[in-house]
Parts: sequence; C-alpha cells; structure tokens
Amino acid sequence: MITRIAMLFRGWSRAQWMLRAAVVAGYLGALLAAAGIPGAGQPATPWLVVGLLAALGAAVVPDSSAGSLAGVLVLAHWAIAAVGHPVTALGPSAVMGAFGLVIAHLAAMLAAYGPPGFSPDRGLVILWLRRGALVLVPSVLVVLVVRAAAAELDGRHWVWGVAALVVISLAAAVTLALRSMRTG
Amino acid sequence: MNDPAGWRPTAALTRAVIVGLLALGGAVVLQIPVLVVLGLPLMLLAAAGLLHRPRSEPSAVVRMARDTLREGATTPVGVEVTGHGVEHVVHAVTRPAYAVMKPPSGVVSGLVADEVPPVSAAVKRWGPVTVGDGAVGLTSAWGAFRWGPKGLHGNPVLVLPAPATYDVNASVPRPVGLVGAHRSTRVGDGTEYAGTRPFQVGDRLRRVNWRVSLRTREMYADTTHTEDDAGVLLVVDALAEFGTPGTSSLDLAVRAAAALAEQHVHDGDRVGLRVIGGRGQVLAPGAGRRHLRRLLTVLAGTVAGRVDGPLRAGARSGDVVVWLTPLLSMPLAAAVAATADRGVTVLVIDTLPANVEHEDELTAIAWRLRLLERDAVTRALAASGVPVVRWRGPGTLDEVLRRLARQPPRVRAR
Repeated sequence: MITRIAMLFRGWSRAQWMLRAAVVAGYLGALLAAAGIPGAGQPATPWLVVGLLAALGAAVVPDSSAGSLAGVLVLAHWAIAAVGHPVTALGPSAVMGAFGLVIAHLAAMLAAYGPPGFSPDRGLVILWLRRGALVLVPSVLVVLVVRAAAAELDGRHWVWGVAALVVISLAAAVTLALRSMRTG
Repeated sequence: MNDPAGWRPTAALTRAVIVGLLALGGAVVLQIPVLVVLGLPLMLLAAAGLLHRPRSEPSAVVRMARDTLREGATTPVGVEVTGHGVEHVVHAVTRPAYAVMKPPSGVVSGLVADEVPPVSAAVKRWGPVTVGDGAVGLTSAWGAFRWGPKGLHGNPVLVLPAPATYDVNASVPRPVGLVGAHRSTRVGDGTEYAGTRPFQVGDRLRRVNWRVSLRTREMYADTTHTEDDAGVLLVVDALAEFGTPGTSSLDLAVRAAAALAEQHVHDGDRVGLRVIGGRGQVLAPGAGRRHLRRLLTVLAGTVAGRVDGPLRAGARSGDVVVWLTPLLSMPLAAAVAATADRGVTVLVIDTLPANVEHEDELTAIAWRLRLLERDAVTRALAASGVPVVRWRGPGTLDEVLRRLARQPPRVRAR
C-alpha cells in the first residue's frame, strides 16, 4: 500500500505538486477565512481535520468527488459561522473564502487535465487565471452592493436583492458566452 | 453524455454544479447571503461550461512528416484534432524501442487556438518501428467536458541505417564491365596513360605517339587504361547477434554495409547485397540512388536467425566480395574460404564488438575459448590470402584494397 502511494507521488511533476498544494491551500484557506466573520472564532478542530482530509483527497485524486465534499464542507462551515450575521458576514473574509474556493477548484481542474506527470502549458494557465479573476468579480460586486445597501436591507429583502444580482450575473455570463460562440 | 467514446462531464463541472447549487439553495433557504458570494464563481464556471458544450464527436489522428528515417534523425509526431468545441489537447506518445523523446515524458499539451506542439522522436537503431502510439485527451471550453483519453495508433516507420562515416580512396580491385570510374587492369579506350607500343592495325590515329615514331622511324601508339565500373557484393552475416542491441555485431555489420553501399554507389559502382541468416534477403547488383535506397531498405529489415543448408555468397566472377561478419560461425568461415578459392576477390570486415557482456563467469570462460577458436579462423583466412580487417570507419578498406589491387589475379582452385 505504502509502495503504491509512493509510486503515485513519484509520478507527479513539479507543476502537479504545486497544483495539488494549491488545492489543499485553497480549501483550507476558504475554511479558515470564516474566522473573519465578526463574532466567529477559529474553526473547531473536527472541522479542520475533516476539511483537511477532504482537501487532501481532492489533491491526491483531483478528478474524484472529494473536491465536491471539501467544497460542501467549506459551505457548511461558513453557513454555521454566519448564522445570526447575515449582512456582517459579507466582508472581505467572504471574498477571501470565494477566492480560496476558486483557487482550489481551478487547481484541481488543471491537475486533472492530463496524466500525473502532466505539466499544464503556459497558455492554459494564463487562460484559467483570467477566467478565475473574471468569475470572482460578481462575488466582489455582491459584497460591495450588499454592504453599501446594508442600512436599507432588513428582513428578507436582501435575499431578493442577492437573487437579482445572481440572475444579472448569470444573464451577463450567458450573453457573453453566446456572443463569443457567434463570433467563433 | 455517458458514452465512453464521447464527451463526458469532468469532475470539475460536477463539483461546480454541486457546490454552486448548494450555495445558492442554502443562501435562500437558510437566509445566509454569504453562501452566494462563495458559490457564485463556481456557478458561473459551470454555466459557461454547459453553454459551450461540444456538439459533435471529435476525431484525432497522428500526423508525421516522414515514413522513413535515418538512425538518430528526429521526426515530429503531432496530432491533428478536428471537431467542434475542443479547447485543449493533451497528447501522450509512447516511447518506441531505442527512441529518444523530447520532451522525455512524451506528453505535450496546448490550446487548439495556439497549435499543439509536436513530440520529437529520434530512433537510435535501424529497423522497422511504429512511432506515434499513444493517447489523446481533449477538453472542451471552460473545462466542462472531456473526450478520451483515447488510444492513438502510430505510423509504421522504417529506420534506415545511419550513414556511418566512411570513405575510400583506393579503387576496387579488378573491376569488370565497360563503364565506370575505376581504372581497369585492362588496356583499352580511356584517358589514363598505360604505355607506348608499336602501332597495330585498328589503333586510332589520335593515339599515335609522333615524337617516338619520328625518333624510331616506326609507328608507335600510346595505350590507356579503360575506365570500368566495379561490382561489389556485400555479404552480411545475420546468423546471430552478439553484444548489446544498438552496438551489437549485427548493428555494426548493417551500419558498415550501409556505409560501404553508399560510398560505392556514389562512386558509380554496382553494389549487390546478400544477407546470410534471418530473412536471407538478396538484392542483385545495381547502381544509382534508387538502388541505394533499395539496399538501405533491405538492410533496415535485417533480423538475426539461423539458416539450414549450405552458405553461399553467390558471387560472380569479377565481383569484389565484402563479408561483414563477427567470424563466430565455422560454416560461414568455410563459405568465405570457398568464395576465395573460386578466384573471387574477398575481404572480411570483422564486426565483433569490442565488449561483449556475459551473464556469469562460466559464460565468460566459454566466450574466451570461443574467441581463441575465432583467432585461429582469422589466421587461417589471412594465410589463404583473405584479409580480415576491423571496421573503424573512414579508411577502413583503403590499405586492403590497394594491397588487393597490387596482387595478381587469384587462380581458381580445382
């Protein structure tokens, strides 16, 4: 068993090691960023252990469902930490959490593009860095808009506002995608 | 969508959909907006990937520039991908035997828009080989769908023996025929002065040596050597292979034969080939670049193997027979001697590699005994007038050919 694991690691290129490290760092960073919510402390040890195990699973087998489990764990931890702080949770730490999730997701995706010895080509990495930055923009906008309008938001109204932002973001993404498809 | 031969959703798409939907659903149901911030990027990635879903089955084929190579020459192995929605290609090429790849892993990748770089393969040993076996994996835009990895069949490539550095300054002894670049031992129509003799009926007037004729008061004419072509028969010993593949006796024999063939065809000689052992290929003497190509092709297909029955070179009178052999087969040594006894000019190129590794001490002792027998065979051949030389590249045969040219014609043994 140990030999098989060692063989598995030996086949990884330097780029694969870096990508897989980014997967672990991304998920753990997203988990730890929840500590930035006012009133929320560091994640409990069980959360960290389970999150670390799921992140390691996603790093070792990036095209498995371990990544989904790690992402859901991050969401669950954030949901628990943000209970009672629906608006104040929307701070820089939320953007950091989204950033961690995107980093982990993209790193796992790049690692799974080819065989274990595969090193992503420069063009692919640049393409995904651009895309990663692009998809983070709506999250930042949501935080900024909600925080700016925090005084007017009460009760469930913020839900409709956020839903409207999501719909607008999705519509914009669809429009851009259709335009790029038409232009070939 | 689940067709193993077709496009399948990637783990990244599944992950983005699951995490994104849970984030949105959780945000609405639990009234926690921060979940939207966390899940929105993944939802956008999933949406973009689904919108760019490929609509047709792609195809990928190996593309190579050449179907024949020289030993050590590099050939690019590329993949040509057609189909809608392909954004990225990963191409992995399996390393053929005796080949060096660049990159060493044989894995290249690239965006379709940027052209996928080829893998460079250099085969270091002559012979037929399949280059380009491997696999290809395609990914759609936004990393949402994957096709493959699917096996790719390479192309058969014939690796011709490397043109080993070789040249010869001496002429092939006793050429026959009526055209060519070598000075014949016969006197006839040519340009190189042979001597002056009394005029005979049939001599051309332009051959009359007027200075000698005036001085002696008798008609004298100059004679010239004819310029003839030569027949060279290369006999390759493929009865067995000694040494490590790549530097074995057969490798040396094939490369030396290729070098000899190339040099003599270049000089305008007729070159024939006979492989003793293995497939036992025979190629009748011929000249020209097309014939050289045939010679190299036959040499590239040489394999080692035993043969039953008597061994014969099949040389014609007037040929120069070059045996390329490690001289470890007694029947073959007897065949060399028999060829020489027929009055044919024979020389032997020793192709036994300097270092032959052995599995154990017992084999090493047996090998030393075998080498002693071989030395005795070599001495016996030399004593009967058959020169044996080690292949050492340029000038290997110069001295031997000059010596043979000075010798009187061999008398046929009866």
